[in-house]
Amino acid sequence: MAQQDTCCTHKHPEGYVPLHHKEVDPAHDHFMISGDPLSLDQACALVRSDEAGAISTFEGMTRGTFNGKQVLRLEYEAYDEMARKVWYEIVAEARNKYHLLGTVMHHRIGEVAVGQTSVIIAVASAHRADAINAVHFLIDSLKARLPIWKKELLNDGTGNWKKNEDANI
Amino acid sequence: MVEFKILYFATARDAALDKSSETLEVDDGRPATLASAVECITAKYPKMRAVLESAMVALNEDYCDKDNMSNIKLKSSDTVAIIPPVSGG
Repeated sequence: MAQQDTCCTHKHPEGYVPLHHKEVDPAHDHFMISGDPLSLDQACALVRSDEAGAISTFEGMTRGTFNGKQVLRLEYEAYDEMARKVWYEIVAEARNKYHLLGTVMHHRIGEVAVGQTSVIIAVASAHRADAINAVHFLIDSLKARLPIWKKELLNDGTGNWKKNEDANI
Repeated sequence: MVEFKILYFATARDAALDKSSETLEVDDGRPATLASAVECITAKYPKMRAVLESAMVALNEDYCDKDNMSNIKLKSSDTVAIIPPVSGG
Protein backbone atom coordinates (compact mmCIF):
# COMPACT_ATOMS: atom_id res chain seq x y z
CA MET A 1 0.00 0.00 0.00
CA ALA A 2 1.39 3.40 -0.96
CA GLN A 3 2.17 5.57 2.03
CA GLN A 4 1.95 9.33 1.98
CA ASP A 5 4.30 10.80 4.53
CA THR A 6 3.12 14.17 5.71
CA CYS A 7 5.73 15.17 8.23
CA CYS A 8 8.90 13.14 7.97
CA THR A 9 10.93 10.85 5.79
CA HIS A 10 10.97 7.74 7.93
CA LYS A 11 10.77 4.72 5.66
CA HIS A 12 9.42 1.32 6.40
CA PRO A 13 12.00 -1.43 6.94
CA GLU A 14 12.88 -3.98 4.25
CA GLY A 15 10.33 -6.74 3.89
CA TYR A 16 7.72 -4.73 5.78
CA VAL A 17 4.47 -6.61 6.24
CA PRO A 18 1.66 -4.32 7.36
CA LEU A 19 0.13 -5.29 10.66
CA HIS A 20 -2.82 -3.06 11.37
CA HIS A 21 -6.56 -2.68 11.76
CA LYS A 22 -8.36 -1.22 8.73
CA GLU A 23 -11.63 -0.24 10.41
CA VAL A 24 -12.35 2.25 13.16
CA ASP A 25 -13.18 0.12 16.17
CA PRO A 26 -13.86 1.12 19.80
CA ALA A 27 -11.50 -1.66 20.90
CA HIS A 28 -8.57 0.17 19.24
CA ASP A 29 -9.70 3.78 18.73
CA HIS A 30 -10.33 5.93 21.77
CA PHE A 31 -11.98 9.35 21.88
CA MET A 32 -12.78 11.39 24.95
CA ILE A 33 -13.83 14.93 25.72
CA SER A 34 -13.43 15.53 29.42
CA GLY A 35 -13.54 18.29 32.00
CA ASP A 36 -10.90 16.44 34.04
CA PRO A 37 -7.09 16.59 33.67
CA LEU A 38 -5.67 14.37 30.92
CA SER A 39 -2.98 11.74 31.40
CA LEU A 40 -0.39 10.81 28.80
CA ASP A 41 0.32 7.57 30.66
CA GLN A 42 -3.34 6.56 30.54
CA ALA A 43 -3.52 7.42 26.83
CA CYS A 44 -0.47 5.28 26.05
CA ALA A 45 -1.83 2.40 28.13
CA LEU A 46 -4.94 2.35 25.94
CA VAL A 47 -2.90 1.54 22.80
CA ARG A 48 -0.04 -0.50 24.26
CA SER A 49 -0.02 -4.06 22.90
CA ASP A 50 2.36 -6.88 22.07
CA GLU A 51 1.85 -6.18 18.34
CA ALA A 52 3.04 -2.58 18.65
CA GLY A 53 6.65 -1.63 18.04
CA ALA A 54 6.04 2.08 18.44
CA ILE A 55 3.84 4.53 20.28
CA SER A 56 4.10 8.14 19.16
CA THR A 57 2.40 10.94 21.08
CA PHE A 58 1.53 14.61 20.96
CA GLU A 59 0.58 16.69 23.98
CA GLY A 60 -0.74 20.24 23.61
CA MET A 61 -0.81 22.63 26.55
CA THR A 62 -1.74 26.17 27.49
CA ARG A 63 1.11 28.54 26.69
CA GLY A 64 1.82 31.34 29.18
CA THR A 65 2.10 34.16 26.65
CA PHE A 66 0.45 35.32 23.44
CA ASN A 67 2.18 38.03 21.41
CA GLY A 68 3.95 39.23 24.52
CA LYS A 69 0.79 39.33 26.65
CA GLN A 70 0.41 37.15 29.71
CA VAL A 71 -2.19 34.40 29.39
CA LEU A 72 -4.15 33.44 32.51
CA ARG A 73 -5.95 30.39 31.13
CA LEU A 74 -7.86 28.96 28.21
CA GLU A 75 -11.53 28.05 28.33
CA TYR A 76 -12.63 25.27 25.97
CA GLU A 77 -16.05 24.17 24.85
CA ALA A 78 -17.12 21.41 22.47
CA TYR A 79 -20.07 20.27 20.42
CA ASP A 80 -19.73 16.76 21.83
CA GLU A 81 -22.01 14.76 19.55
CA MET A 82 -20.67 16.32 16.38
CA ALA A 83 -17.07 16.12 17.61
CA ARG A 84 -17.45 12.36 17.98
CA LYS A 85 -18.80 12.10 14.44
CA VAL A 86 -15.97 14.21 12.99
CA TRP A 87 -13.40 12.27 15.07
CA TYR A 88 -14.70 9.02 13.54
CA GLU A 89 -14.24 10.42 10.01
CA ILE A 90 -10.72 11.65 10.80
CA VAL A 91 -9.65 8.30 12.29
CA ALA A 92 -11.15 6.43 9.32
CA GLU A 93 -9.02 8.63 7.03
CA ALA A 94 -5.92 8.04 9.18
CA ARG A 95 -6.46 4.28 9.08
CA ASN A 96 -6.72 4.50 5.30
CA LYS A 97 -3.46 6.47 5.03
CA TYR A 98 -1.32 4.63 7.61
CA HIS A 99 -0.94 1.16 9.08
CA LEU A 100 -2.21 1.71 12.60
CA LEU A 101 -2.88 -0.53 15.56
CA GLY A 102 -4.38 1.87 18.10
CA THR A 103 -5.26 5.57 18.32
CA VAL A 104 -6.17 7.93 21.14
CA MET A 105 -7.60 11.44 20.88
CA HIS A 106 -8.35 13.05 24.24
CA HIS A 107 -9.43 16.68 24.54
CA ARG A 108 -10.04 18.60 27.70
CA ILE A 109 -12.82 21.19 27.99
CA GLY A 110 -13.57 23.87 30.56
CA GLU A 111 -10.75 25.86 32.14
CA VAL A 112 -7.20 24.77 31.29
CA ALA A 113 -4.56 26.70 33.25
CA VAL A 114 -1.13 27.65 31.89
CA GLY A 115 1.08 24.57 31.69
CA GLN A 116 -1.82 22.13 31.78
CA THR A 117 -2.59 19.72 28.96
CA SER A 118 -5.54 20.42 26.68
CA VAL A 119 -5.09 17.67 24.10
CA ILE A 120 -3.37 14.29 23.78
CA ILE A 121 -2.84 12.20 20.67
CA ALA A 122 -1.29 8.74 20.97
CA VAL A 123 -0.84 6.27 18.13
CA ALA A 124 0.52 2.73 18.18
CA SER A 125 1.86 0.98 15.09
CA ALA A 126 4.14 -1.93 14.26
CA HIS A 127 6.85 0.42 12.95
CA ARG A 128 7.55 4.04 13.86
CA ALA A 129 6.87 5.77 10.51
CA ASP A 130 3.15 5.09 10.66
CA ALA A 131 2.75 6.21 14.27
CA ILE A 132 4.81 9.39 13.84
CA ASN A 133 3.06 10.46 10.64
CA ALA A 134 -0.40 9.57 11.93
CA VAL A 135 0.11 11.72 15.05
CA HIS A 136 0.88 14.70 12.81
CA PHE A 137 -2.15 13.98 10.62
CA LEU A 138 -4.48 13.52 13.61
CA ILE A 139 -3.51 16.71 15.45
CA ASP A 140 -3.66 18.80 12.25
CA SER A 141 -7.05 17.32 11.38
CA LEU A 142 -8.32 17.92 14.91
CA LYS A 143 -7.26 21.56 14.79
CA ALA A 144 -8.83 22.09 11.37
CA ARG A 145 -12.10 20.20 11.77
CA LEU A 146 -13.16 19.17 15.28
CA PRO A 147 -15.95 21.44 16.58
CA ILE A 148 -14.11 22.64 19.68
CA TRP A 149 -13.42 26.25 20.62
CA LYS A 150 -11.10 28.01 23.02
CA LYS A 151 -11.24 31.43 24.59
CA GLU A 152 -7.97 32.94 25.72
CA LEU A 153 -8.17 34.94 28.94
CA LEU A 154 -5.36 37.47 29.34
CA ASN A 155 -4.16 39.18 32.49
CA ASP A 156 -5.24 42.57 31.11
CA GLY A 157 -8.84 41.43 31.65
CA THR A 158 -9.62 40.76 28.00
CA GLY A 159 -10.72 37.47 26.50
CA ASN A 160 -10.75 36.38 22.87
CA TRP A 161 -12.19 33.42 21.03
CA LYS A 162 -9.31 31.90 19.10
CA LYS A 163 -9.39 30.74 15.50
CA ASN A 164 -7.05 28.04 14.20
CA GLU A 165 -5.16 28.67 11.00
CA ASP A 166 -6.21 26.28 8.26
CA ALA A 167 -4.04 23.23 8.63
CA ASN A 168 -4.30 22.70 4.88
CA ILE A 169 -4.39 18.91 4.93
CA MET B 1 -44.93 25.06 11.56
CA VAL B 2 -41.55 23.48 12.21
CA GLU B 3 -39.92 23.52 15.62
CA PHE B 4 -36.17 23.06 15.63
CA LYS B 5 -33.40 23.05 18.19
CA ILE B 6 -30.56 25.50 17.68
CA LEU B 7 -27.12 25.35 19.31
CA TYR B 8 -24.79 28.33 19.66
CA PHE B 9 -21.07 28.00 20.33
CA ALA B 10 -18.26 30.47 21.03
CA THR B 11 -18.86 33.79 19.19
CA ALA B 12 -22.32 32.58 18.16
CA ARG B 13 -23.27 32.17 21.81
CA ASP B 14 -22.01 35.70 22.51
CA ALA B 15 -24.23 36.97 19.68
CA ALA B 16 -27.18 35.00 21.09
CA LEU B 17 -26.91 36.92 24.37
CA ASP B 18 -25.02 34.06 26.05
CA LYS B 19 -27.66 31.47 25.26
CA SER B 20 -26.16 28.09 24.31
CA SER B 21 -29.34 26.51 22.96
CA GLU B 22 -33.04 27.09 22.46
CA THR B 23 -36.02 25.85 20.48
CA LEU B 24 -37.32 28.12 17.72
CA GLU B 25 -40.21 27.92 15.28
CA VAL B 26 -40.34 28.58 11.56
CA ASP B 27 -43.84 29.41 10.46
CA ASP B 28 -43.82 31.67 7.43
CA GLY B 29 -46.25 29.67 5.32
CA ARG B 30 -43.54 28.23 3.10
CA PRO B 31 -41.89 24.82 3.45
CA ALA B 32 -39.27 25.23 6.14
CA THR B 33 -35.65 25.09 5.04
CA LEU B 34 -32.28 25.60 6.68
CA ALA B 35 -32.25 29.07 5.10
CA SER B 36 -35.52 30.00 6.83
CA ALA B 37 -34.12 28.70 10.13
CA VAL B 38 -31.05 30.92 9.74
CA GLU B 39 -33.26 33.91 8.84
CA CYS B 40 -35.25 33.27 11.99
CA ILE B 41 -32.04 33.30 14.04
CA THR B 42 -30.62 36.48 12.50
CA ALA B 43 -33.97 38.25 12.93
CA LYS B 44 -33.84 37.44 16.62
CA TYR B 45 -30.13 38.20 17.06
CA PRO B 46 -28.91 40.82 14.55
CA LYS B 47 -25.29 40.36 15.68
CA MET B 48 -25.46 36.79 14.35
CA ARG B 49 -25.15 38.14 10.79
CA ALA B 50 -21.52 39.06 11.35
CA VAL B 51 -20.84 35.70 13.01
CA LEU B 52 -22.37 33.86 10.05
CA GLU B 53 -19.96 35.51 7.63
CA SER B 54 -17.23 33.17 8.87
CA ALA B 55 -19.26 30.44 10.61
CA MET B 56 -20.37 27.11 9.23
CA VAL B 57 -23.87 25.75 9.71
CA ALA B 58 -24.48 22.16 10.77
CA LEU B 59 -27.71 20.21 10.50
CA ASN B 60 -27.99 17.14 12.73
CA GLU B 61 -24.23 17.14 13.32
CA ASP B 62 -23.21 17.38 9.66
CA TYR B 63 -21.68 20.46 8.04
CA CYS B 64 -23.94 21.96 5.36
CA ASP B 65 -23.23 23.84 2.17
CA LYS B 66 -24.06 27.43 3.11
CA ASP B 67 -24.82 28.32 -0.51
CA ASN B 68 -27.45 25.61 -0.71
CA MET B 69 -29.38 26.20 2.51
CA SER B 70 -32.61 27.15 0.74
CA ASN B 71 -32.70 23.63 -0.75
CA ILE B 72 -32.18 21.82 2.54
CA LYS B 73 -35.54 20.94 4.11
CA LEU B 74 -36.05 21.39 7.80
CA LYS B 75 -38.27 19.10 9.83
CA SER B 76 -39.43 19.16 13.43
CA SER B 77 -36.85 17.87 15.91
CA ASP B 78 -33.94 18.77 13.62
CA THR B 79 -30.89 20.24 15.37
CA VAL B 80 -29.20 23.22 13.73
CA ALA B 81 -25.85 24.49 15.01
CA ILE B 82 -23.85 27.62 14.27
CA ILE B 83 -20.19 26.56 14.07
CA PRO B 84 -17.78 29.51 14.22
CA PRO B 85 -14.18 28.87 13.07
CA VAL B 86 -12.89 26.09 15.29
CA SER B 87 -9.93 26.40 17.66
CA GLY B 88 -9.42 23.03 19.29
CA GLY B 89 -6.03 21.72 20.30
